[in-house]
Amino acid sequence: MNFGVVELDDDTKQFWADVKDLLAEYVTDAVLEEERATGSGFNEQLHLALGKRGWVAPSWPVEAGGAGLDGMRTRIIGEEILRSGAPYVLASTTLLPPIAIRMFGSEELQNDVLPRVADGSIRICLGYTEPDCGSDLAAVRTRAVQDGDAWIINGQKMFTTGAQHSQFCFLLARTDPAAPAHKGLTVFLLPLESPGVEIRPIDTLGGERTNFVYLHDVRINDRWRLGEVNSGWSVIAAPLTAEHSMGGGDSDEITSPYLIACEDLLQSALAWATDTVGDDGHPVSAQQEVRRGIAEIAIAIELARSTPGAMGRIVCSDTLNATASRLMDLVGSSAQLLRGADGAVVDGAFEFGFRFAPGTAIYGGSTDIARNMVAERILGLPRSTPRRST
Amino acid sequence: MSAVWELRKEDYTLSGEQQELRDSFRAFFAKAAGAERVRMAEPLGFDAGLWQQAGPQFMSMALSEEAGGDGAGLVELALVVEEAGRAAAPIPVVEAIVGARALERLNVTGELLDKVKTAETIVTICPSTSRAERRLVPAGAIARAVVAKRGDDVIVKSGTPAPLVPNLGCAPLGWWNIDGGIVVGAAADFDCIAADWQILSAAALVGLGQASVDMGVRYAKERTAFGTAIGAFQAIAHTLVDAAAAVEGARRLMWRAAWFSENEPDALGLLGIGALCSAAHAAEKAGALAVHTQGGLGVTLESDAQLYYRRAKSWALLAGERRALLNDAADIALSSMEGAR
Repeated sequence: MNFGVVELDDDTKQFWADVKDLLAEYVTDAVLEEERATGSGFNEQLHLALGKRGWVAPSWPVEAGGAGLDGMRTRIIGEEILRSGAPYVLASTTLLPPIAIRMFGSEELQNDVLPRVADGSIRICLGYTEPDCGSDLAAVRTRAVQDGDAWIINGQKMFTTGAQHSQFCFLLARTDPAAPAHKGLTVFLLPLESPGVEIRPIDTLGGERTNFVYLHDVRINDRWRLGEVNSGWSVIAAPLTAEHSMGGGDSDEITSPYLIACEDLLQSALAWATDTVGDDGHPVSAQQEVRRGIAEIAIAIELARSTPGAMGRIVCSDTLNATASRLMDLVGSSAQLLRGADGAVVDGAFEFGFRFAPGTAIYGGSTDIARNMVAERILGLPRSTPRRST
Repeated sequence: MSAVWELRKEDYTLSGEQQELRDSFRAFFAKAAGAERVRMAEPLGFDAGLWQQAGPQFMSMALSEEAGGDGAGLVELALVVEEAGRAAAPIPVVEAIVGARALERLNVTGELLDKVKTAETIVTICPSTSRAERRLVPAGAIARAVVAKRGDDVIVKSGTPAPLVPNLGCAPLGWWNIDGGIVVGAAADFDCIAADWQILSAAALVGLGQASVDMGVRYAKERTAFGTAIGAFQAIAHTLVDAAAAVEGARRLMWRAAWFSENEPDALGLLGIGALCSAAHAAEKAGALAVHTQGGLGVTLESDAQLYYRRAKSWALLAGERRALLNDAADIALSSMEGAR
């Protein structure tokens, strides 16, 4: 057990300063403002600048286009990017498919794609969810039919976040409708420039832009297939596992983004409480109800920070939802005013937090699915019923 | 942009020695304590035989080598206290450990410390910093001395154990008059004592909560309804998951608090209070759920779940007045704001 300060050598301190400098240069007020307006979750100049230094995939070896960084420096980059508020969603999901590409892709495919992922010129969105299936991925209906050395793909994907800035979609498609659900799926790395691909925006409650991707008779070469035909379920296993751990609180590498959202809200509440004078002429931070609320939220955040793995993913999201709501009650009516509105409190932070929070219980695998996983794998409870047999 | 130029390790792993220590206490309590013994010790909540067996080792761990003990750290103490909590052991481990450490911190020596060392005498503390003279003291019905904060002083008051006041958790509670006694320190000296108390109370509650989770999970695997084990129903499984997550999070927060209290007390912040409030909430939630998962059986006195449910609330109330704890936590959270300006 050790929670001590990590002793950083001068080299690492300099490295840290370089990371901050780079972010200060690219994550400008204008970039942040644009992200608030569009919610695109991506900024190409920043991404390419990171890629130039091998910082898109900082832990990958230098030969593979990464920077060959140790866990500490990788964590510094991750923390700084998150805390800078940079548009970053696509940059994090784009690193998930390469896990499978490395395991299942041909050497040619790996050599073609991975260096360009690392230098930032290629981004990959996740093509899992469809209008009729999300958590139950084995139910995907997008159909791929073999035609000589090509595949013809028809169907639609949704919540393909970042598709409008991506070159490829990591696509889960049905190749054998007659086989049991999990055994008729195949994964492709679909070039988004292919004829028949249409990307349409979906706007979210939290202000993020995500997408529909419609596929009409899209024809792609068999070289874009990952893994054996009808073995797609095992191809997505490793990236899915990595994605499920993304909302947790104990990652050695970076703090949960949901926890950072909680911390930001608490900081906003502290600023509000110390800067706002109540009717009695004293800062509202002296009021019992305000103090109690702040104390309980500060404690809940520390608890979430200490909760590991899939449990942490659940608790971080639940804590964010509870925190956002509770703080609005504490602040009162003006907490709902939008950023820029007359009388908005702390730049509309609470109004935004309340809209952003619910999605965190869905993104990257819902908290309900996380609860199933904890129930079965950690508590050893029987599989929940009803459940399709595999 | 982050203003923090500091990274901390996030290493929650136990060393081999720490695991052995925990396992040996777990094995001891599994063999020597058990629910029957907990029941037999009610309503006083004190099993003198068990204390004779286990007390000397706890006291040895609590006291430093200079004081004749083997000076275990707070992390190690938290590990063994959690095991006592898991067994709902009817012995005052938190009270006696914190009392002994308080005596040593305040340089109280002589006969009292000698008797504490051998576990012949129990010295407790009064966590309430109320101005009232008459205070409800944990283990006050079995202790022969109390360390308390009174106004600007910390005092040690000796006396005969107070009469048992019957209570929810069958804890050996008694009313003491915090008057007279010997002044042994200033009010600020009580801060470390309070931190010990909060963190070790949290440890006991974590153990209590874990036992409740285990009880609920075991029952959900065995009991069938509508043709399947009830643990296959998400309404049952997901509530158990939430209770398990609450206990696991509280445990690790408590470990973090113990580590900081031991290694970097100035950076403890609100971790001690946070650990206590979180553990109290987790133990109560898990206790209530163990009762509920067992259905009608859970509300009978036959069920062990009720033993844990009652203690979860009782121990949490003894560990600290929630209003005061949150008031202190608010001060700490708001002071971080002042520092930033």
